[in-house]
Amino acid sequence: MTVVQEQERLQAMAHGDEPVREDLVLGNPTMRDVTARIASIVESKITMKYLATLSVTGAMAAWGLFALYYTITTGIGVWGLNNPIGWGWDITNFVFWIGIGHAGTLISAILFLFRQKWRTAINRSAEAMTIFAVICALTMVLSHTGRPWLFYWLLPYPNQMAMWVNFRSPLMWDVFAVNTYFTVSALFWFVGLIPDLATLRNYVKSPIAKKVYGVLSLGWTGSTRSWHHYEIAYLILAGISTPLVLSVHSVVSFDFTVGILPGWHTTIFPPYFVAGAIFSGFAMVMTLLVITREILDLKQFITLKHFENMNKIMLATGMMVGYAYILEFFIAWYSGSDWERWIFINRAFGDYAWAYWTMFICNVVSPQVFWFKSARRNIPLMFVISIFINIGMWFERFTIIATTLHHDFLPASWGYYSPTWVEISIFIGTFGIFLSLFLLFAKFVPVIAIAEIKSIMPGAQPTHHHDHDGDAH
Amino acid sequence: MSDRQLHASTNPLWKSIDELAEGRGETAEFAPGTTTSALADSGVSRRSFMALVSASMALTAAACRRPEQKLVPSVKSLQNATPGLPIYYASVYSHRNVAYGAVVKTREGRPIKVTGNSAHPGLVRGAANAEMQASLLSLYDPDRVRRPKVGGQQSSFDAAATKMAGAISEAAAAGKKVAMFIDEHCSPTYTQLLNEFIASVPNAVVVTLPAVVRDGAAIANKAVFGRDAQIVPDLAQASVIVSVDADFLGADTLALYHATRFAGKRTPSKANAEMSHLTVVESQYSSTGMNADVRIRTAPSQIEAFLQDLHAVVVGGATSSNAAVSAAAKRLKNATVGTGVVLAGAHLSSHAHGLALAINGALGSVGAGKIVDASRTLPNSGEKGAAIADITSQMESGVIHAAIFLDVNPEYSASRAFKNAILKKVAFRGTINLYDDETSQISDASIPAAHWLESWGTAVSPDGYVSVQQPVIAPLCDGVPSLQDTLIAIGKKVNAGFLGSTASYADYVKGAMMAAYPTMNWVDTLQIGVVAGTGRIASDAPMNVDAISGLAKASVGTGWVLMTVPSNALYDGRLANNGWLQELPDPVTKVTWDNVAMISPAMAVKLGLASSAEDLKALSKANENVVAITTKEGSVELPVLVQPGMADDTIVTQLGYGRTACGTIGVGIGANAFTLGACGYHAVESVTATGARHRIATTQNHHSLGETPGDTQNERNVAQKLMLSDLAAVTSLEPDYIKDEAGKPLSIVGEYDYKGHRWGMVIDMSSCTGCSSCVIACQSENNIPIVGKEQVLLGREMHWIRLDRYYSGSLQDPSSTVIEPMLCQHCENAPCENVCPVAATTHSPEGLNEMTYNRCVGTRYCLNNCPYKVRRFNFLNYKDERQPLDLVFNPEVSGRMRGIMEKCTFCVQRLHEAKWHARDEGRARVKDGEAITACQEACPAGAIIFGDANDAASRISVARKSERSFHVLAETNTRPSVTYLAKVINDRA
Repeated sequence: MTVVQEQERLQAMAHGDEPVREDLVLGNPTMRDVTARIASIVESKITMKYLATLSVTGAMAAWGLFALYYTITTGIGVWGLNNPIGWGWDITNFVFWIGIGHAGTLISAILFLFRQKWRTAINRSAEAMTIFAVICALTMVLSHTGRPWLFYWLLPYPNQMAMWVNFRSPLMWDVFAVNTYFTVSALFWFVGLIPDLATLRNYVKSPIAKKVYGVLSLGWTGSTRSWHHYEIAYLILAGISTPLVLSVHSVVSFDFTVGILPGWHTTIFPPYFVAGAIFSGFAMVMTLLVITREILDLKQFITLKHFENMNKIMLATGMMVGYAYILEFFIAWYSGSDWERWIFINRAFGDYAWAYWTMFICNVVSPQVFWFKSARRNIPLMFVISIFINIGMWFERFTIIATTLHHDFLPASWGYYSPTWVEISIFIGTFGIFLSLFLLFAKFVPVIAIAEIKSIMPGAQPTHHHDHDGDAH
Repeated sequence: MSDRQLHASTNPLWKSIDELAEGRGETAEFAPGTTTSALADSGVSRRSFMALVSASMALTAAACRRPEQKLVPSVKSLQNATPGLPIYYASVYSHRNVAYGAVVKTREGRPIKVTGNSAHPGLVRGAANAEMQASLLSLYDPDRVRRPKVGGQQSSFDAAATKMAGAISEAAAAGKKVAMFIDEHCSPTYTQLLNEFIASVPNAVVVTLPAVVRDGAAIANKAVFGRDAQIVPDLAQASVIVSVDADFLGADTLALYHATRFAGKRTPSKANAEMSHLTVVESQYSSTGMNADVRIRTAPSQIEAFLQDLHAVVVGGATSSNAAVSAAAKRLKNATVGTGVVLAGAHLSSHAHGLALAINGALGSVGAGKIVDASRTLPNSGEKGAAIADITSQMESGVIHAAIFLDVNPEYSASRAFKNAILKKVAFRGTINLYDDETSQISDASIPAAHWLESWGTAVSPDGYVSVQQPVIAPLCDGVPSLQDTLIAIGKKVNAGFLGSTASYADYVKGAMMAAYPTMNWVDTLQIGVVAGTGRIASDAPMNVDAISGLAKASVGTGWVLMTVPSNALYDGRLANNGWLQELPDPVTKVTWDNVAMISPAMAVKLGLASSAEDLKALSKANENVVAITTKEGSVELPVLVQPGMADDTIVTQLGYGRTACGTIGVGIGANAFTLGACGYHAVESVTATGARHRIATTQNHHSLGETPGDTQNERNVAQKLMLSDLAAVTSLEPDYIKDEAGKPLSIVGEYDYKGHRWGMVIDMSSCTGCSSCVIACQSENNIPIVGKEQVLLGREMHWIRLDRYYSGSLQDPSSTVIEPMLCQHCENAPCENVCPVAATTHSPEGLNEMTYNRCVGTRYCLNNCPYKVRRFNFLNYKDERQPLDLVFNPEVSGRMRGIMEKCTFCVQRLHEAKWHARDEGRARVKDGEAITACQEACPAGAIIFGDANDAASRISVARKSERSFHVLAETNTRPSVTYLAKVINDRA
């Protein structure tokens, strides 16, 4: 039975009376098939198409790094920032990238703890994305300062200046939050990779690759004892990661809420930022997986069921974000503060109204199509919507930062901000870094958790009631 | 200050008048007991010293340390100077023909700050205007000329002087004349020198040729009083002022003089509600207009009619159908006799000035010691136009063989006829000036001149006080001589007997002064800056009111009128190469680095630049459109700026821009409005939009029209104002919800206990005239860089203090304007402090919000979180690396590199200095008035009060209790250390 036929069968079934869960792995592969299928991606030759794609993303990264070099050697003045507007695309991009990472943590930690089996097909790539996104975020946040070569002054270390950092500053909290996030995510990802790296070690033919995977798999034997320890370690890390889903973006939102500016100083930000982060993260996972699934032909493992679930999450988080957008206006009115009221009117109808409405339409209006099942299962449509959401979520951060700063308390100090080519180049560069890393990941690391996916194969489930010949129990 | 104290010290060096008064001389610079040599009193003999040295040498040699390096001390120390301590010199700044006493602060022999001389009668607290302070930067201007030129080739002083002398002799041989053109000045000695020059060189004539020629007042005064001079009114006595297009607080060389006197009557309180009333009738929107209680927007053609009507009502007892005239007349007539005054704009006709004099006479304000006192005149302020016209025709007729320009630049500023004449009808042109300017470039010989800080001179103030201008540094630019020294050298070459044995202007000045004031103590005079015993003796002059009828009226048509006015910052463009002045925002328009064509909203519609005078977005877009303006003299292209409150059918633009040769800073900035005619009104032949756009760098113009929908923000009470009639009912201008029942600020943490000093500032918006001298004072004191037009366009100007300007009322005719000086508020709950991750900005135990430059990594979070937006980020390295510009820096203030934040420090270096002095004198605390910030020092209006709020008797503690006091954005609970006093508008009938 082909994959397409299988999907059709399942769709037909889903519309029937029988309350049946869809299979998460299609085509009835054997365990060995699964391993071979996923490992073959690593084992196969590097194609010209792959190299061409990588060189494009690599060039983007190089161009961005050049722009970064130019910034650091010349000064922040090469950006479009000015006196009322101290942050622009730099912090917008930082928050954007940190937000992107959240889907990975949510999928790998929270969905794991909630025993959401469908996560296994996508958790590996989502986690990888988390790490790459945090790398981009770190790039932005380290380079945005006036004197980036002194970045280590933000770390509390004993020094000859007898200077301690200022723990009252939300930026300080950011340093801890983002570093913790990066460390835990990387560790979690790596621990999850160990059994698969061992599989690759056994699978690959090249002696160098064998050596590398061998070292990385840390002597994994696959014994029950190993599995036992592994499961416990994974569970603990999942437990540690879970609060990070909520805390990291809450802390990032404190950068704004602790400020006294109208439009920033608001209590709704932490939950609103977390919802937005998950929203944008899933959108980015969707964008990348649609492409990866197509190119690496992973339709067997990443099914419409996965996409549909993700679309449901996007619909839910999108509405949370939309609710926050609307509630902000209510609270601004309810607060009785002229400053608050004005800043929100200005957000929607002022100089940056175009950014606000781009955000609103992309984030609130566009996901509404996911109320329809047919839309949730329509790959081209969800691809487009996911890109809309990516754009919308970027503009959300831009709107919060730029509209708040450009018109604050004293009308005499108002200004306007638009980016220069340097800032745009750096943003393109972070995409280059992100995509290059993702391409390298897709080629050299199992994009799907081989060990985990086996546990959710139709044959692996005792309650499985299909009448086909399960041969891999 | 008693004479005894002054004479007690023969030491020519002093640091401040106060110090002299307290008998502290140079020796007090050191704490008692210290000496310059540590060994001198240590009881170590030469023998034991040598023993110790050899022992330590041996030890050093024995130890295997890094190679020894020696510091070589300076063998030649600066004479009379202690490194690290400033020396202050008294001098005088001649702002054209207005003398302002100056004190020049020097460090290690280089001048680093110019302030006003508080010992100079007529100036307060060291007040100074922007140009005077900024002239310091021009001293170090790398673009100043260093070498004379003859025929366009570099030459020697001697050769160039010989060339000029030769031209004079040639003229004499040919029976022709030599015209010497000088600028307006106020130096009796220079006048005397020129007179001797003419006596010695009979074929020379001296013509005063300022860039801005406005003769109306002098002609009227000549007719009415028989005095061919401009009379300086004393506004300290005025309770009702009607200014008819007189920008006496703005682009006027006397603005500093007037601001002090005017502001004294602008700060009413509940206890004393006395306040002067200012009516301004004008077509532009001037600085004076911003200070008006009643501002009457009037077309240029109606200006003199207003004066005529006012004259008819006040003097003739008629009634006027014009309510504004009736109201102004009523106020003048109700004023106490001798306190009402009408001021006519300098550019108005002699008839207008005559009318003003007649009204003032009728109000009892004319006479000895009165507001208008015919003996209180500006030196060298007589009628000039006729002499200039005469010399022009003489040149055209070929009588003039050579023209020598002594620090004047007619090629830039003179009429077309004059420029033609000097270029085509004069055989030889010579210039003596500071820059290779437009006139130098058409000259056959040019000689550089020294800066005023490098030269000797004298000046007499409007009140008759005579001062000596003493050089404070040996001439830079390879030791160029002063203009007068060059003149003496030329005179001696023409006529060897010229001045006899006097070889230099320094000797000449001393000789002339000693001859004029035989009892003068030369050293004392230099120390104090004023010749003791000088001063105007008020004298009555008979008033011939009938002569007014014979005076010429202006013929201002009712069509479109162009009005050219001196620029607030540059005046006539002489200091166009001065970056401080170029970047100083205009008090009204906030434009930097440009002159603009200001038009009313209705005029924008008439010019087809906006569809409706009500459509704010369209009006905003009308800005920056370039229009070509043509008068019968010429045509220039200027960008449009829609200016609220302008008269319709009027275009106003500033002079002083559009220099084509002056140095790298000033060339190509703006357009030369002198091309359109001299300063004043001109009929406009055509105005056409060229279709081009020219970006205008304003520091506060975005959205000042309020074009954003739902814009209630402009109505926010950030710059409060009161009507005088409401003052009695005012209890507090701050919202009550920010305080608890006991009146304490709401806070969940306890109050910080400031044990020592608690620095604070009070700014009185009612007396602030917006003159902007504080901005330059701060720039000079704190080493603030200029950033250039492109960076201002991006919003990156670095000024630590800015003057926010808020209009209220309609766009066509704003009812009032409030100027709010805005600087770091040094908040107790500073929002910037808690957000800095590296603790680079922290609170001091004395209440200062301190910025540690070295620690700053540049996250800019503090800037974002500052509700006052007073923090300034170094986006790029803004330091001008050209030599010798680095000499202008105040060594007490660190330089800032790119990537770090800076802001107002309350001049912390001055606070430290004051504390050191207090400690030296064994005092625990600084006395009130000892610690003065640069902005406070320069403010002529006394609008800034700084001091210790922990001292209940200090001026600031008293001022803070005013019922007019409020904190900006008090509701944010930042609890600023800067208290503002609301502007009061006199609304009494």
